[in-house]
Amino acid sequence: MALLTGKPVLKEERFDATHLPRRVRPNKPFFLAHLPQRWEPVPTKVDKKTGVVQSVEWLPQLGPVPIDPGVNGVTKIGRAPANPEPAIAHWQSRGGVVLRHGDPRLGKWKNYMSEFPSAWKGAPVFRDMFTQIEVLGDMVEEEVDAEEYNAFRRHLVKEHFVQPINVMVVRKSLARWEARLDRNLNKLSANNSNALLQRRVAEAEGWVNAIRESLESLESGRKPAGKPVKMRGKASAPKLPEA
Amino acid sequence: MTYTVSANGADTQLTASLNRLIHVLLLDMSDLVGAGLVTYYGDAGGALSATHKVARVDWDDAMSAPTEGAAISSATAVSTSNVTIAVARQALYREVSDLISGTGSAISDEDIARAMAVSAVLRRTDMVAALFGSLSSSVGNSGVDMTTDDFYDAIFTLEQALVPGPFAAVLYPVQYTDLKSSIRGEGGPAQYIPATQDQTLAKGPGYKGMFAGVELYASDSVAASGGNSQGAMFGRGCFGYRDMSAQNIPTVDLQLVDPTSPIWVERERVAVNGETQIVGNYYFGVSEIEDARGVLIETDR
Repeated sequence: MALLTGKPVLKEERFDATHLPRRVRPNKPFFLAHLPQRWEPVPTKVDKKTGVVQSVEWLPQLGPVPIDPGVNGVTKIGRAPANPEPAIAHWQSRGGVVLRHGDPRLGKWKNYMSEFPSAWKGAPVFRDMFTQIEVLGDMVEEEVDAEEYNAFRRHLVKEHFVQPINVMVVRKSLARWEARLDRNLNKLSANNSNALLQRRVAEAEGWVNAIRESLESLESGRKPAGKPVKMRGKASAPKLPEA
Repeated sequence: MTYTVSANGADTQLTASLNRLIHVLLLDMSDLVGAGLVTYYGDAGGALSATHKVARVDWDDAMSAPTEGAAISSATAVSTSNVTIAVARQALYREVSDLISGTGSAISDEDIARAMAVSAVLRRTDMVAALFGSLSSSVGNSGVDMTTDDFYDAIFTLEQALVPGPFAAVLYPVQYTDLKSSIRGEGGPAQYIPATQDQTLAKGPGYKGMFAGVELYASDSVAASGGNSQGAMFGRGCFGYRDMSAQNIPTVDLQLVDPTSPIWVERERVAVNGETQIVGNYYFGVSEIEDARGVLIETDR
């Protein structure tokens, strides 16, 4: 006689497993990627009372490269799996960096994609590993572990996955925030008692100051253009044509 | 006077009756291709390849002022590049059992066949919206609700890049409502023009109106990334698509399938299973054609 022992059936495998409601649209697997001009200022210090940003750090903005047949040149011929290389090439042609899932340099963030079961007849929903989806009836809330996501993005900079930020990106962002501040100040001057505009002005001022500060530190910390090259033998400066 | 029916209801009544009018559950019928926001690059039928190169030419070479009587030093080459659009199969298939057909159903085979066009529209809208995340320019802030300032930033980005109008903005429904809330707080004149019934009929149900001269669409196809929604604002020519008609496939019965239509719905009886299969095929591909013509709007989801 043999004794058979059953294994517990987890909630995720049971008939009453929680699925995403039908309103959450399924999507396709993706790679995360970064373009050199896509960075974002992330607040590191915020005034607790007013919510005004006081300082920022610059982190690379990541976007998904969908591995979706028919999108941006991704092909699927016969029974072979989808070939994402044309879409990857599209990012790389613009100086972009595509993060391969299994890259060991990603450390603990290797395999950064998560799959969620959906109520759409088995079509799954894919998100990055930093996203958790909470379901209550047909209500859905996607929560991102911002600290972990930011740590991942810092890791990408530290490990040279992405090139350091170019000051042009910061200058452009500053110009955009200054224009935004001016526009709201202009509106406030016509309607001084508008509390919403007052808040927008305070917020924009906070962003402008924080971004300006980060620009100054980036510019002051910038290395000199290059050391003068020592020439072998007798070096002489090139003669300029006489005026 | 009241009548009392003494017979057992279970013997004389149906368990439940069905209304002839079928209620359709909520779905997003936004059709960015149908609204004319995506440029058509032709039928892949008979093209000898599923992959198609769209040639791009740069005519931005102004004349110079050479010395009078002297030859121009060198010829200026015409700058060209190309973008690939790959057409891939999109499909949906349903089975209707003989038992359902034979006893009768409120949803007919014809209803199922007609709904294939809806499924094709849902899919192609997802595919177009999946391109937004690859745009180089971006506005908005992670985790912060969309405001009119983000909207203006997007307009200014396109205008500074010399993108010709009209522009269209495709937003996730939450981005759209955040924008509307922000418009309500605008102090000065804000030109939000809600969609009229005629416009909704012409541009599809996703069309929400116009703000600051930009056509507004809300779609749940807009992708999520890092807890944010990746909507976009773009001018015509930013994205392009190709599809494939059935006219070059000898085994497709062109008596039943419109040879010029890119969506083909066929019915197949499978006697061994006692069922009818209804299959919809749609060959479609979409790509970003010119990056500078669009801007990503990334704000809180």
